[in-house]
Amino acid sequence: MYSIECVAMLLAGGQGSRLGVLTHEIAKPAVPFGGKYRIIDFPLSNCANSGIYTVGVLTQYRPLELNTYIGSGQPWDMDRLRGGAFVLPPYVTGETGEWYKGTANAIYQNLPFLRQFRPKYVLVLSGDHIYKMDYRRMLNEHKAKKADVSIAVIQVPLEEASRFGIMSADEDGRIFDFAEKPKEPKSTLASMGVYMFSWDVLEKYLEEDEADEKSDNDFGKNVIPRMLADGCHLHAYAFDGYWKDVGTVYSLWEANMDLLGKNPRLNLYDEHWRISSRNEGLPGHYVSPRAEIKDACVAEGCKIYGKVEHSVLFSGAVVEEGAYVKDSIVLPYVHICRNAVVDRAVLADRCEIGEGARIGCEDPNIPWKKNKMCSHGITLVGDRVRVGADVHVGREMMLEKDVPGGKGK
Amino acid sequence: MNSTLGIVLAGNSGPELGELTRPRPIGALPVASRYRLVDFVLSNLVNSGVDRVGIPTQTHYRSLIDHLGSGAPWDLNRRRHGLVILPPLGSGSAGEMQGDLDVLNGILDYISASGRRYVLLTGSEILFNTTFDKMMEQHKATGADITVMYNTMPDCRELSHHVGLRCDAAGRVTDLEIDPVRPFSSQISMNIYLMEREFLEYHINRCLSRGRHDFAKDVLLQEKDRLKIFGYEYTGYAGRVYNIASYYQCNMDMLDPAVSAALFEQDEPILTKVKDQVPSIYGEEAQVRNSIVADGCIIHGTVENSIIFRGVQIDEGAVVRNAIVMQNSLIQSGVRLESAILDKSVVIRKSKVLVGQTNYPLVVGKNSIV
Repeated sequence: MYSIECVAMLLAGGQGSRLGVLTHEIAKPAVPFGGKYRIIDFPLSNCANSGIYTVGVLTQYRPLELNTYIGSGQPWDMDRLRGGAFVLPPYVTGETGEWYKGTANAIYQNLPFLRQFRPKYVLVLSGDHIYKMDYRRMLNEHKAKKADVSIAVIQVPLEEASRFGIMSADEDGRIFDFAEKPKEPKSTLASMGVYMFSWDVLEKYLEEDEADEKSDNDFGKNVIPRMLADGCHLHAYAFDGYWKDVGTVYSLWEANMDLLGKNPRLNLYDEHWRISSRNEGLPGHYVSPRAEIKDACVAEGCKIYGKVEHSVLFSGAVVEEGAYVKDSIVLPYVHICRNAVVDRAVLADRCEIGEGARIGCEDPNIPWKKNKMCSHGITLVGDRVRVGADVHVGREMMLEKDVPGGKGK
Repeated sequence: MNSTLGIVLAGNSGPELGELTRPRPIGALPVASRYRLVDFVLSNLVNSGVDRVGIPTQTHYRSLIDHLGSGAPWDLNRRRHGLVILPPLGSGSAGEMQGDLDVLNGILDYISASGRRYVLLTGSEILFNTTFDKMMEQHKATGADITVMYNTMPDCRELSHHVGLRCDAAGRVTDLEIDPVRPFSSQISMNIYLMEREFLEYHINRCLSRGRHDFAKDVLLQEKDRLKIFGYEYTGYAGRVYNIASYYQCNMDMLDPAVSAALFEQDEPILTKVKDQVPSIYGEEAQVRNSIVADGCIIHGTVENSIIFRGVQIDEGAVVRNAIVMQNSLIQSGVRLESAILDKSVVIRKSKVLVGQTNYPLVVGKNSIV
């Protein structure tokens, strides 16, 4: 019998409802990011770069695209003889069967999956964050501290602290207080949703949690507080690199913009920490004799005839002559026709912006309806939506359906 | 076409391109911003349903093996069939290989063991996108011994090595000539030949036992009257690489959106090895016009009419015009680079000026530091 020291479990079932139309068809971890990636590439690549090649990907909400994307796990070097990448949807057991009730229940339901690898440690990850992290270091510290569970933490501004699981730790990193989304945070140490459990402890607490009918079966709400109350050794593993929760349209836009500028906050040009993705291999992008591109991130297969400024263009996007794209993220195979203007927008896969259309304009004469998913002046156009010629779309709108040509909207 | 074995001659029997083919065989030559020449014919084979492909190699084949690997990018990493790279057996040195028939003789056991009824024998020096299904249909319909894929080239005089065909109305090759000074025909073989496997095996043996080594000379030309040789015309874009100037031109052809579409926007894709490169970043000072830029580049300077491969860095104030810059090269600030081909991992230090001519581009070898 072989064993695998550390198995990762990636929670990828989240809907990501605050991403609006971006997650109508796909789960949040499958949302495109950074020109040629998807959010899930980050935790998967982190695993591979940390030498963890056995990863269970727990899916639930709209898993089709995610299943296809992960496939054999080959892009992350996870097509292994022993271990590898496994997509784990909820399943039926005899008469019964149920959805994943919470994060803890999702892992609980897959304890049989974990047992076959006889792991010593289980790394629980979420598929919602953009960050580069060496889990090996976390594992080493976890072992050195002889902790029952290590929780990766990062300093956040006090005013944002109430959005996170906040903990207090002593000088040695031992956690003595934990509060999930506290109204009055006692510290600014936020949980990153990255947990390293020792196997025996995880197994015991998941079984106890499952037996407790009052529990919501959630790590942050139930399992971690219970472990703390029982006097388990909870260790705070401090992380200080780039980390971003891309749960909202604005934060997704912002994280993409972090790739741009003179000193980008998020650097993907790291030979030693490559982010891998499944990509189809398109030719280099074409820049026409009259195109202008400044301060932009452009992926392969794009064709640019117009002007692009401070934007991220994903694979296969087309910007026709006279069109102007500024402060925007343009997802794969979006087509922007002649003389269209796209300002501070997120254009989802394969949408089409008609000739002379304007996305994100501030014309007070347009009777537009702002959408609460959009904030900070960002306009969102859904996948495969066709915006007709000369249509003006106001700021902070979310388009889910085709808009025929003609003035106004 | 799953009854066909593909044999791709990616090595020394192809043309020589000086500095560019010193570190690699022709099939491994980088082209069109992110491809290698062999990608085109290999993708065409796979897109035609040929799932068994052998690639014999002769010398300096490391970069070819590195590129092809297990064949996974072409979906040829199969338990049965798939891609096999065939280095020379035993102690035979490359010097004993006098022609392509010697190369084929070296892999005769592989050819026989395939059990396939047909063999598609091809070079790897052409950029094109097609499938071979129609050619196969014609081959069966005419009952030809050999079907030759050719295209029409109005001016073929500068081709360093070529086989010209003269076909009758039915498409049968009535005459052919090899490397003529004054060609009688503009129908030029693309070095793609379809025939039955046993037929090929017989002729390999027949020629070698009579001290003959060359498929074109000793099979096609010698036997043209005895055999039924048919031409099959290919009418799409075909970029032939046979010397430095044509290599330069084939790359520059990519700047024509119609050519680029003819290669990369067809029903079937051109497949290649995928690397995890970040999308390219343009700085605030970047000025890029009429160029192809692959992933992983960081561009702060000026780029015009150029083909920029993956991972190239062009610093502020550098000017790159009419150039081909291969993978991972670095062009520092203030450099002026015109009409040049930089091989992989070249460094051009600050403020250096390198200027060639568009019909005679300057070539800078792999790993050079200028």
